[in-house]
Amino acid sequence: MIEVSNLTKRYGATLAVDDLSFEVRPGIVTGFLGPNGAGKSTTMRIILGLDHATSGSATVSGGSYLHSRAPMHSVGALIDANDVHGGRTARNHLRALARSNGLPSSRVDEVLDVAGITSVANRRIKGFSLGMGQRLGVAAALLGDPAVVMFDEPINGLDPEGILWMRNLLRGLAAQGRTVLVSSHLMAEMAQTADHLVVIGRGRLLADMTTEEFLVRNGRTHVQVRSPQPAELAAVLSAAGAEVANDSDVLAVHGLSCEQVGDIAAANAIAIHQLFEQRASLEAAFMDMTHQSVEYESTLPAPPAPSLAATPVAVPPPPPPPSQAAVGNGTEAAAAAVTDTDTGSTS
Amino acid sequence: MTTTSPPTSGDSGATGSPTVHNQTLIDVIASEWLKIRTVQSTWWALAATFVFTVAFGALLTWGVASTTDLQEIGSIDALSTSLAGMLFGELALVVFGVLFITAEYSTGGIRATLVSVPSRIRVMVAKTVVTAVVALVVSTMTVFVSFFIGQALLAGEGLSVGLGDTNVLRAVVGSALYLTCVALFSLGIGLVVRSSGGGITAAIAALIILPSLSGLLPGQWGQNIGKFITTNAGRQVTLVETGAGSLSPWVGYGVFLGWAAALLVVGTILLRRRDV
Repeated sequence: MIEVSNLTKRYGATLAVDDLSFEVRPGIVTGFLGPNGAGKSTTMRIILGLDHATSGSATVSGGSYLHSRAPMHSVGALIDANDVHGGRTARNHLRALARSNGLPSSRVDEVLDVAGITSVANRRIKGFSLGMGQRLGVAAALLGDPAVVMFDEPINGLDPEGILWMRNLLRGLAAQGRTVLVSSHLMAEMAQTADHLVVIGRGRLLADMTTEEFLVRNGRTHVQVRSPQPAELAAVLSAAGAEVANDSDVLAVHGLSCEQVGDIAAANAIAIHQLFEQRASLEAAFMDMTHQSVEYESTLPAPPAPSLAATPVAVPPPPPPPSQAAVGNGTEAAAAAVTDTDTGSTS
Repeated sequence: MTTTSPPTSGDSGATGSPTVHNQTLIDVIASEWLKIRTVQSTWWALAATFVFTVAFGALLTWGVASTTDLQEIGSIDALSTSLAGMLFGELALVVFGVLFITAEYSTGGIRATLVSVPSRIRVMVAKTVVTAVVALVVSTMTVFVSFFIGQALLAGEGLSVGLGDTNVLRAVVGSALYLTCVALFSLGIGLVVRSSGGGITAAIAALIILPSLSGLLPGQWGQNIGKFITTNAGRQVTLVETGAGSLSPWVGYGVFLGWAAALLVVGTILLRRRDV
């Protein structure tokens, strides 16, 4: 159990964490989401006592981590996989950590095995790839058989197989009754892994709910319709109570189903060339939610998406099929889907 | 790299098994000892301490022993001559002491250390103990080997001294203790400065440059201040005959230890207050 109450952290003039409160319960995977600079890592560092809170508190199993009597049994943390002396071998790094908590060296072999890095255990860490480094960080975190597991961006640098491994590992740890907090800036990945989501932006709590609830609330859909008579169609759809955004000959219709749009068009004898339901990706919903709180936003105008181009001569390419990117696999696919399907909110 | 199963330890951490081991200072000392043994820079610094001190001491002593001008030789300090290489050993131990803490900052390992041992005091007590023991063992070996080689070279000229002579054993043991304190002082500076380059520079300034500059301070007032400055105080215990106007050997060494202790205490307070 992790409890964060009214936590505030100020670095000079910058407010990194702003009156943040949430709880992380055992037995489930809790995803800690936010854009870069939202305060996720700072919050985790404060929980571990690495940074000091300006005000408020963060406790683990009811007490400050600084006073933990068996630290690695209390929390297993992966903050930054690079936080190791590269001159040591993986095994010696783990042996030193185990020794500091009075753990038997047999635990070192066990966690090397769990992390799948037994074969490179006697190699120096500085030769490790990012993925191997992450696995070493996981091995270190699991050494003490911790009640609370806290991973900061653990899938960074992992290949698809590694991502699957991490997902199963996190679920397995939660199933054993541990408290699991895992941060990410990738909504799609968290939607697949986490049971509960804590979303923050600019250090403030934006959402604290089950993943299911988040999906229902934020997975909005609308209808896209292409017609040679867009103005007439827009007029009749608006008359039927829909919210219509008119971009060239493609209309984005909110508030009506595909069937309703088709029926209304037929009743008014307006030709339709294409009609489909567009689901805003979860990633887009996440970006919507955190839009106001992105710390480093590009000040350059985004290049206009082709399908939104207002030039009358431009023939818009066929829009993509209804997106299922939110539950798709690779993160790149999800990111690409954002630009493709986020039709309403940008620009 | 295909393991997909979660850890299968007998007792789940969530249930608080009865076999949980509470962290002790001994655990932390053992861990720091393992850490210092498993990086190469340690072995380079310690080898340099021994080799440079012994080699330069022997070279200088050999030079003195082969000088034929008896009048000149008549006034030599046989002990200091044989230990003349200590300045080089001192520099190597500065590097050793500073790096023991600053390498944790430059690699980020300090975060792994403080997550596994949240008590800053425990971490620094352990590092101090390990530094002191390692430096004392290496310094003692270095100083005694230098001493015996030097005296053997001087013996042919009838200029050597023995451990039984007045103050000689105290000065040889004192030299080992002096070098140990140099390592502790450097650890303290490294902890305050948190950077390898800055730490080594600051330690050299405080141990070598500042003490010699203090001779330029004017009048009696300057002398009174000067004798308390780091190695001006600490070096007295390494000499058979202490200089006029200096602190006595053990008082001087106590002052030098006090400097090191002050840095370690200030550094530990900063470690507790600072974000890592």
